[in-house]
Amino acid sequence: MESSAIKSGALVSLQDVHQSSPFFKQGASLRVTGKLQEYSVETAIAIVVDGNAKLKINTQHLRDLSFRVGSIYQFIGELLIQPDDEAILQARVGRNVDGIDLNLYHQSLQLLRQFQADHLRTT
Amino acid sequence: MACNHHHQLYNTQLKLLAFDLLSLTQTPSHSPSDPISFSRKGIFFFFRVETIGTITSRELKPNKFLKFTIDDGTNCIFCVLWLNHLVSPYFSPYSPPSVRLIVQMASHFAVEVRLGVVARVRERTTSYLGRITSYRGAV
Repeated sequence: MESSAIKSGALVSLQDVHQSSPFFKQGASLRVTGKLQEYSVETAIAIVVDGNAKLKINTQHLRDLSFRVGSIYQFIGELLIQPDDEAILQARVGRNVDGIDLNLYHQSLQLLRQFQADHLRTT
Repeated sequence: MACNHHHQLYNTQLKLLAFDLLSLTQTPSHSPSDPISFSRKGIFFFFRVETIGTITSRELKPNKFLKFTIDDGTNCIFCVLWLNHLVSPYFSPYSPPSVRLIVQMASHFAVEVRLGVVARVRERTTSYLGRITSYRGAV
């Protein structure tokens, strides 16, 4: 069966988005979660952080989403890697996820990856 | 196939991740009146599923349908919420008050389906243009 034309955003933590990561690819569809550290109304660029990891998010295509520094957001979009190797996620979907337990979320990502790997092995 | 209809999972809303749902294989029907059913690993037969994810696309044709996709991070499911109950012959045997209730419910769900919202979709699974599709879903 053919999958949908819209690409699924792979579930990653911000720590997974670095140059030696398999997710660090031009145009990779990702879903990232982090706390809003900065937001510029002029450029629509947001910076989200999770621990020591941070990522720039281009939010120019998002509507009906208000940005509040300190709140936690989740974005789905495509990774744009610039010539200087800096990555910016071109967000197409975003939502506020205040209240999320990020430690639990990271654990669930690990369990989901394990489940998918087991599933692929048995099919 | 009678054996499908009486399978213990026939009326169960099976919770599936998108990648799992898209790996289903449609089982060949023996007659046009047979409902569409799917198999997984050659064992289960069902067509009622439940999945949850973020809405990443939305296309509305008023009074006809709302097409949208749900992304749960493992893949995307293409969904159709029908909005044509008042003109569809499928609903002509139903009483008008029942159809109006269904229309109200579908209209409510259509408003709730917005980009970025997390939705739980339940209902039948079928295939549409070669894609596995959930339709008439509750959100």
